[in-house]
Amino acid sequence: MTRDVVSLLQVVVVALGGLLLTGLMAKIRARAEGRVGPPVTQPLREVAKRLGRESPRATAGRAHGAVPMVLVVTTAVAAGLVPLVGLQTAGGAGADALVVVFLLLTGSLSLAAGGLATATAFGGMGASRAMALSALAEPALLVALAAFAVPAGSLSLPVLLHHGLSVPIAMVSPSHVLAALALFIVVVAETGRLPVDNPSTHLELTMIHEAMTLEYGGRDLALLTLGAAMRLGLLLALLGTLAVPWGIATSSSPLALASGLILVGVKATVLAVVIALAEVHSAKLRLFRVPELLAAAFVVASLAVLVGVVAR
Amino acid sequence: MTGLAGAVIDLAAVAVLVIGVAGLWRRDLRALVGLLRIQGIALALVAASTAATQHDVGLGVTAVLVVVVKAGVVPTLLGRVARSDPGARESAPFINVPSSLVLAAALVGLAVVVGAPLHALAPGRAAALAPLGLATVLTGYLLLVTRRRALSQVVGLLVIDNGVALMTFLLTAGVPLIVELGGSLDVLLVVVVLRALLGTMRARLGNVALDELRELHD
Amino acid sequence: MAVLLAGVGVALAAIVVGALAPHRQRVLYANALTALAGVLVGGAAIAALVTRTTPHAHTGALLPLAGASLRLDALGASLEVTVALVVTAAALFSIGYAHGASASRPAVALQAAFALGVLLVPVAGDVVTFLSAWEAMAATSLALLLVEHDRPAARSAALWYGAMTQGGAAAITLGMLLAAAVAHTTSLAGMAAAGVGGPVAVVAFLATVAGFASKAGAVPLHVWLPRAHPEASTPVSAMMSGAMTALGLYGIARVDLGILTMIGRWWWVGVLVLAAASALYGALHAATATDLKRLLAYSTIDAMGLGLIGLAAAGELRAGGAPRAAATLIVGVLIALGAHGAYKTLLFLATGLVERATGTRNLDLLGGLASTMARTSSLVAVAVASAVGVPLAAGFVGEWLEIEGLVAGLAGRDPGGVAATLLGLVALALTSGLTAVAMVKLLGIGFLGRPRSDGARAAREPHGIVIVALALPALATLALGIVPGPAVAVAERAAVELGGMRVAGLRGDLGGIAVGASASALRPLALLAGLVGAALVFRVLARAGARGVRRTAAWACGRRELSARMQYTATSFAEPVQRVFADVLRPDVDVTLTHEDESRDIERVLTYQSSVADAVESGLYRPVIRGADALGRRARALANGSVHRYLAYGLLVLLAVLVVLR
Repeated sequence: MTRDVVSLLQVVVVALGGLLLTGLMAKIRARAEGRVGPPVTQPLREVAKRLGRESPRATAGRAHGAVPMVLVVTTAVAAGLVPLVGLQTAGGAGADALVVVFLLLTGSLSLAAGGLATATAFGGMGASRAMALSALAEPALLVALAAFAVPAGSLSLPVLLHHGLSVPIAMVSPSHVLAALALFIVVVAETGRLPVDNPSTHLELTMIHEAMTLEYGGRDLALLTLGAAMRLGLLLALLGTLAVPWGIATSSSPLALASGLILVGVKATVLAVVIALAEVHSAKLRLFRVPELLAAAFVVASLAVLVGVVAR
Repeated sequence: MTGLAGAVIDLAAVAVLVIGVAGLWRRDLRALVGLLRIQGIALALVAASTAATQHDVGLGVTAVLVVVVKAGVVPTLLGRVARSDPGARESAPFINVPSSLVLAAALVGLAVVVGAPLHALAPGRAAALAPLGLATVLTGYLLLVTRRRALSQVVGLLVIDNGVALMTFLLTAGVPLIVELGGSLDVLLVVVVLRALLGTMRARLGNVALDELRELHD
Repeated sequence: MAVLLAGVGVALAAIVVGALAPHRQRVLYANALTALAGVLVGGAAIAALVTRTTPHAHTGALLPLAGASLRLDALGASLEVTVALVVTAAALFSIGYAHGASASRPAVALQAAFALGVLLVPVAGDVVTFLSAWEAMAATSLALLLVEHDRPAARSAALWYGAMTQGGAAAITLGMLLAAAVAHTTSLAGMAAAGVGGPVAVVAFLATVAGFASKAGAVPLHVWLPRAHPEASTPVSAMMSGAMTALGLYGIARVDLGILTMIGRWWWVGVLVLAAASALYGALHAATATDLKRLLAYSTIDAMGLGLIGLAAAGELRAGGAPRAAATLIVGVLIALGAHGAYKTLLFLATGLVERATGTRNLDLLGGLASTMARTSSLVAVAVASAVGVPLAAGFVGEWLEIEGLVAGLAGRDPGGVAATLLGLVALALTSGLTAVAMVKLLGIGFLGRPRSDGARAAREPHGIVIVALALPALATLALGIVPGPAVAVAERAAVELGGMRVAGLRGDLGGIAVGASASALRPLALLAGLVGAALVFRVLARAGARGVRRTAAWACGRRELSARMQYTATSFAEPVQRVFADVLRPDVDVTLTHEDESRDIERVLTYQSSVADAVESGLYRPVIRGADALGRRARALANGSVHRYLAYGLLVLLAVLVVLR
């Protein structure tokens, strides 16, 4: 019962937190550039406003309309599955890192298919780029997760995090640090932040994620925005929790859950601020330089596994 | 060995390797020199932590020496060379950056497999890290082989040297001071000579990329 | 056993009917009988798995030397279920599909014989039966390629395929006979119990791995596959891809993992390297291919490469002292083969329907089929979901088990083992990402968007049994994806049978799968419940206060006249991947500019053409073929037509034999 509560709580927190973090990152960027910028709650308001509007759809097929729903639902289930606030979620031992990865992948695949379904040049362009980059990010992602999993011998997130909590010194082991670094780069790429993709661009030719969403409006767009924000919130919180598992609620007492909630919020916010500050100082990479970045993430992840052999 | 010092040695030794690999990633020559400086510091940290755990004064002195030479004098000299040619980049290495990174991962894997018996040379937990030194050497070699700019090749050479030093620190836990002194001075000499040479060549030829030197030879 | 034998009998009857009956009855009855044979054999396999029995039969007649022997153990039965599903779906499809050359007497009879061949290989109980079934499968599939022999491409494909498959069969025969000679028995179970080691085992290992891997399309022995699949008729390519290539991996599991148990781990590492290269190579070519069948053929190479990674890593792990991880991998491969059989059969059959409805297989000319061929498109979407690893589809279960096995193989092992396992994991991850590119391209370019040609615009949905034939593997995909537990439980027995594996900790029940002592678990039913629940909640939330949907023109950044030519094509979709991996793919890119007559500065037409040839074929095979050709020309001087010279050769050989045997 408490497990279900934890899961529901996480879905709500990831949804709200993701939207607020998106707003926060835009705010930090605006301030650093000397502008006032929109309020932090702006994405929240936009989603709420658009949810009440009708959705213009350009194609007759069902694929186009189903995409926002698939994106939001898969991300929401992933958010309910991953241990963020409490160690035990509704998923129990089924909260496997691979299930989470492939749920999120399902969302991105449906987004790409939606981009192609609109039959416009930009939709196809975004889908093509997003798929190529996600293919290149996958080795780094899986190897980094494997590096996290090796000490516990399991990809099950509760088991893995429990092991991390019981051996605190492992948090500063080189392989742990490298795995976190690799996962950080992957998260930046997968959430479409600079230097991989510019979430605030208005130039269609440079878009990746935004290009796939150009043909959506109204409620559909609200769901897409929500889905992207939840993805950001979830990945940041997951990265923070994997890197520093300390603070996650191991019992189901309200106090433990409350502190777990606050701490996971702090971890995600810290990461968001770091990414936002890095964004201020970096320009978007040329599309064909991004593989270099992802190759760097891959080599760091591989080092994490290999170094784990010599520095146990 | 206490837990903390052990963790520091682990992290610093891995940092030496990771910085070597990062050398393959960055194209900006000045950034390369910066990486070299950090690598020197990480190397000194390995020596200092080992010295602290084993109460080895000689090794402590070596650590200071490493900081002075490898994180101080050498990068400064190279930095001057790099600054005299602002905007100089390793624009077209022989093997492109993603491939050389993947290759580096393979080389590290090879070093870990082949270097496993190194552990038998010396007891202790630090000795198990020795393959990292081997991996750094191989990475430096890769840098040396695949880059066109003379300066990046000097950096590759120095990464190799750092890898050898890392291996000796980890395996022998205390090189005789005189050996390390000699090694460091050798490297210093090489850098000074190269710097003089590069300066002269630039004065005569403008820019230094090794391919162009080949043309001169032909 | 009786059911199995009845199935074999029905399959034989199908061949006879196919060879003798007149046209209409021929197609209907022969294929219906084949489908029935598939159902019977599949039923026998499932019954054997459920009752945990090992039915076997032996007759001294029928085959020379040792007679024929059938044996349905857990490994064979696990694979037989997949093969039977593929055969049944392909046969049902043929009833509504076969016409022209593929409905001719030889074609129908050969197709039934091919089905019998693939059904017999997993139940063969001894070396002679195995080799006979193997050869029957190889020969009939070769003959089926030649059904449309008036096309040069088909003849060329048959030549390549014939050379590869007969070379492979020879290698397998050599390897298995060597192993049988050392083990002093021809029974496969007996050989496994005896265990074969020593230098002979190494030779047998290399020969059988080469032979089986060429059947599974492993690089560099894959060249026949992208030629043969597009040239064979649709149901035959489905059987080749879904069942026959999987039997290549079955052979490796049966002979190399099961019998040659004392082989050193570094041999397996060698196989792992080849498998990794194979998976990546196939995935890259699938991502850049524009011909639907060629794409599917390369995707078969990629899927079989992944399976081979699993088996090779399992061999290495077992030899390196991690039998549990090895068992997880083997179970993963068996499940993945089942998933691949189902989704690839569906995709091949759907390609046949698309080709017939639109007149083309070129993705650059397709599009918009989701509205004109809605049911086919939905079924294809299920197959694509399985191929890319969407949870709740069968493909994910296999991939999940394989990754769990590899990660378990990374924990607490020596550096060599870790490096090898890491290589497998990396190859698997990148392959899985590239597969997603290929499959999204297939679905998004081929079926979504707008039609890119008149043929695609005029497409009509086919009706009747062909859709049933497509729905069958789709159902299997979803069933295996949502309730994988029972399949894992029986596949685990197969892993136990492959000597040396003691499997504890891999459990499967209706609720899901659990792996390892620390219990990584997959619970698809709970996941399904969560997804449905979340979907309902978000639907209600989104509906509250919303005003519904309005049909509009696409915005497309303000462009009013939107034509189908402005869409991305398969070529442009794959361009980023092609560019990143240009060093491996070596694409042939051609940009042509023509200018207006008045001025060189005004460009009139810009055409971009890009084609990706098989670099292994041009780099490795062409020189070998040229060399062999040159050798042949030179050898012509030896045979100048003079009878005396030939007689002299005979005398020389006789003398040589006498000297050698003196």
